[in-house]
Amino acid sequence: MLEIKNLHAEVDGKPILRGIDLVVRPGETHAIMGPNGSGKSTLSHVLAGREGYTVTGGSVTFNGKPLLELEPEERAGEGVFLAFQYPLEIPGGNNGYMLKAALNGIRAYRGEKELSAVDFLKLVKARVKAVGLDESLLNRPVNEGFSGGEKKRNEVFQMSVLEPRLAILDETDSGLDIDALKAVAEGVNALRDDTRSFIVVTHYQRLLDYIVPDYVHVLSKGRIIKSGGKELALELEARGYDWLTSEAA
Amino acid sequence: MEALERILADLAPAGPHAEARLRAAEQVRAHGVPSTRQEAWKYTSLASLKDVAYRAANAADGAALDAQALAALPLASASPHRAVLVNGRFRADLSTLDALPAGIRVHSIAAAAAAEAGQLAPVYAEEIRPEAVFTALNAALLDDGLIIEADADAHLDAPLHLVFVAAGATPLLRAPRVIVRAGRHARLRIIEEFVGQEGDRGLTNVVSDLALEEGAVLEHHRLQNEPDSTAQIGRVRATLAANATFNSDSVTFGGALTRIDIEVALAARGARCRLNGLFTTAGTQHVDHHTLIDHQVGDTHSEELYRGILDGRSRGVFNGKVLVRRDAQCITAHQASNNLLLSRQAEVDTKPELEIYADDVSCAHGATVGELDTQALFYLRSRGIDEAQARALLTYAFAEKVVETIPLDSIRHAIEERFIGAGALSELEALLEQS
Amino acid sequence: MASNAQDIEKIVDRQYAAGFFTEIDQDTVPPGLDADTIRLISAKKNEPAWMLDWRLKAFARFQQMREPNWAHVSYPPIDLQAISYYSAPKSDKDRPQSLDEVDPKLLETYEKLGIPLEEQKMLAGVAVDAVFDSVSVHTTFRDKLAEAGVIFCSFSEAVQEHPELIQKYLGSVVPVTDNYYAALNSAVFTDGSFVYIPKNTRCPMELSTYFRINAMNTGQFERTLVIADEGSYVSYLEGCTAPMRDENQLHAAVVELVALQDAEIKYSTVQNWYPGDEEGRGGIYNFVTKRGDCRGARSKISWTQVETGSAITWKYPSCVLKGENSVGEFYSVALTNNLQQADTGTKMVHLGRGTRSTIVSKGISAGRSQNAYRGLVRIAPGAEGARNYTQCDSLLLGDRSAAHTFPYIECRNPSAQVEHEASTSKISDDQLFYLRSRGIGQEDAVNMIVNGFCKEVFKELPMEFAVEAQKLLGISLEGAVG
Repeated sequence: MLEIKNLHAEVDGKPILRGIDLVVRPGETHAIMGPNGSGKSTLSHVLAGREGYTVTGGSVTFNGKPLLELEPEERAGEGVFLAFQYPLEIPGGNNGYMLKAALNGIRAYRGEKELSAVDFLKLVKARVKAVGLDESLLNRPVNEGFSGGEKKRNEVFQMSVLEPRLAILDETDSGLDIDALKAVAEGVNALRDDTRSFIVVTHYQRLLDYIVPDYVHVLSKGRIIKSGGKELALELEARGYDWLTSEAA
Repeated sequence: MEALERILADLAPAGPHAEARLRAAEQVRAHGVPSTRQEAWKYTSLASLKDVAYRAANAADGAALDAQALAALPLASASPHRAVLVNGRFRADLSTLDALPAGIRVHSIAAAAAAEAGQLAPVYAEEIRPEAVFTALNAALLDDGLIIEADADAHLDAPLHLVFVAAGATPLLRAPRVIVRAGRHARLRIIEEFVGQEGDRGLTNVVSDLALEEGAVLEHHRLQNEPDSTAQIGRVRATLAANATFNSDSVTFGGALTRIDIEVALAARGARCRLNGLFTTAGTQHVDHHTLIDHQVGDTHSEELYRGILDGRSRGVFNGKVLVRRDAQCITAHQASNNLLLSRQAEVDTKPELEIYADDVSCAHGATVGELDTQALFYLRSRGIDEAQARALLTYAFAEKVVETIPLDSIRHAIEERFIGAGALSELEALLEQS
Repeated sequence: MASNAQDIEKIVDRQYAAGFFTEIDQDTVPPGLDADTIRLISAKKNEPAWMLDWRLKAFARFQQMREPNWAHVSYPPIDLQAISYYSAPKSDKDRPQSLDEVDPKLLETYEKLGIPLEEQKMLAGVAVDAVFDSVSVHTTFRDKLAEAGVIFCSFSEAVQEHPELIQKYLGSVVPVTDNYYAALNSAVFTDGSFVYIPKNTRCPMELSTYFRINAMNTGQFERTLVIADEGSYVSYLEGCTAPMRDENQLHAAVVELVALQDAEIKYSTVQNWYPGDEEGRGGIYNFVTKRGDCRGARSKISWTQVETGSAITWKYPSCVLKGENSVGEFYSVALTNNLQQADTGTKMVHLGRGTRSTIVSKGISAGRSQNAYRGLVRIAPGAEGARNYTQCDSLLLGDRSAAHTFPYIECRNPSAQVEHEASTSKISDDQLFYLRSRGIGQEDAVNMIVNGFCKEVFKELPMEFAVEAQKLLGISLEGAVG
């Protein structure tokens, strides 16, 4: 499904990713862990197509298509979803309207018919409750005045409506208390199935207690220095990153 | 302006204010039309008005405009309380003022001037500063307008909708005035809406004088929807007594050249005001807002937010001054001016000013000019919304932030139509409301 | 007084009419301003004809101009005919012979600032004694600079020695017609400094101590021209923290900076001219035009100023950002006390693509002073992707002081991003209480807070200057609180 080959990327001329190789198959959940500054967030942003990153080498294919050549909205159309570490506030914007525009944008990309406002509402009402958010949130400005937990839940809610093939969770656990964390994880787990894949980017093992990964990769200085099963995360929790990063250096 | 000189020369006022009007005309002559060399007119040139053959509007102008023609104009409110002025003259036949609650009265200035000379005394008592010469011109040409009085504790249930119609076959100079006296703890909402018939090339020179007594609350919505061929120079002045509240919204969509001065005197403790403004312009439109919030005494508070969205070759100007006088302590004043340029030929000039002579103050202003937030743009695109639509949505959101406090759906619909398509959002909102 | 001045004027007129300027042999010419005064200055300085021509043209334009009145300052009319426009340096016998003859109050201030004894003597205008050999210091600097190919000399010397550079660059940043005082300066300037940094050269030292020694007695109409050729760098320090003795009330300097491709100029000023007494008597009128031209791609000009002196300050160090991706910066602390008035700020004119500017202004008003920030950010249609960020804060100490902010933003390019933020508040009671509850006296606590408020600007100053500037704020604020 997703194949990253020897990916290099830099920001302002400074190399951040220095040769990433990763294969994610349908239905798999991969955790990417690593210390601060290891390039975790850069990887998420490069995959979603954020400006300001220059890919200097390597390739990314997604279901056979060269992902890096696509605009951000085309990637969304292909089924890539990035849950932001810091979801943007758009004062004056409307949450429901934004989501409808997004859903219909993706449907148009896939050659599907636009959903009417009525059909859209039918679809989202069930799902907004599933993530434990109040329905009134649909008629509020995008993320404005939301608590940290509400913002992250809103990301998961959007994900549940847009039904991506690959969801990338960028430090979704940051700034969440344990209850909010559980709620977000439940929302994510509800979406897991044989065809949908996840990349969970996190600094701490905590989130992985609730979203149990199939594979864990450790990123350091822009490279994956160790891969393993979910037990690797526990080992990192116990021993920290130092033993790995010093080994690699 | 040759036409102006001729108008002043031909001025032959009658009635109790004849002499005062001639004196006002003298002030206009003495100061002359402002030039861009004057700080207050630095960014707004009146050169385009120079060669227009204006003449003073009279009662016959626009008399043909009937209820049917009025109904053809899209108006912002369907309030039961409506006063219509055509080319500056009050038209009882087009107005509906029968349902006004007790304690609230609306008369035409023409009627009041004949009846009682004292009503207009303050209009003629003031010394005019050179930059405010058009206020003297309004006084000189003042034949009609409205006097709105609210007794103590009077409450207006629905907004009072003042409709100013510009309907000139030839370029007319219109000079209506609105005088509002809100008594103690009175509560009013007034919409001043300026509309016109296509092709009108006149100049609307309007002045609104608003006096709020202790504890009075006045919501003032000003909509400039005149055709893109009409010019307007307007001034709104509000004076607030203790604990009075003045909320002003100035929304400008229309007009070829629009200059609006809004001046608020917070003259007693506990007075507060909020000034919001939105202008969205295109073509060669020019919109200039000058606001002055004068914190004359301590414990007075102000908030201000002006936003402009400029397309085509249009130009937007904002000059917002916050003045805190000596010994006016315990002041809060916050001001923001945000501007979006949508085209390479558009220009914005903004100047938020603080002039502060007391020390126990918390004053701040911010001004931005720029593109849409690139991060927000990426956020929307990463959700599958294409770039053009994402931009439209963010532009709408930018404008919505100002109008969200205005309880007039028509304004929201206008910006919706302009930026994201008619009904695109409101349909969904309505459905959400129902459920 | 006025009639007196007129009398003198008459006499002067008569004398000039008799061709007085060719035979004069005096240290100070009588007051008065006309074309002959300018011929006299030029002749005294032995200037080439082109320089005199330039001055006379400037004077002709000056005569058609009017004194500006838009600044937020007020002062009685200045009688330009009552000023003497040329005064040769005082000879040693006219100066105080030792520090014992100098006003003890001045010495006290030097002491507080920690100024070395020898420098104190210079600043106080004491005749230099044998121990302090300024000539040798001078020579050391010269050698080191000459080695690098840097030209650094008095303006008069540059007119004689480097006429091609002067003719090419003088008035190219601040045209003579720019404003009333710039035109006056162009006509009558007496001296100043000239700097040229050759291509790809990093000036081997900060042009500071050297300047302090050489810039004495440059008079009230100072002219400075700094040219940084391609790929060069220079840091230039002007003024000094110690209060300078000066008899002239009007100071109208012009500073022009030119940065060519990839060049960088850092220009730091500490201005502490006599501010007048507590009742506002006396004090310098400091009406300065400072502008830098970022002519080449990726060039950078950075102004840093600490303004604590002068009765009236009227200055807007500016950057014209022509070169692609060029950068302009302005960092300012302006402190006014007693009856001082300051109207200061900057102009950032973005002409080229990708140009960036930063403005950080900190105003502190105490006593009954008036302190205004006035700034212009202009984005021209061609300034694709230009960026400006402005932060402008005012701190009020005392309820008789006033702080004003007048930012002008003019934007004509949709891809530009301009952001301006300003705030005005009084010194925080909570902060004061916190510090005092820790045992810090009121005055020290205020100093700490004020210095914290100015930190962003001080960090732009060269190290030793920053330390002095901090002390200076404390001294300037004496008596402002309590």
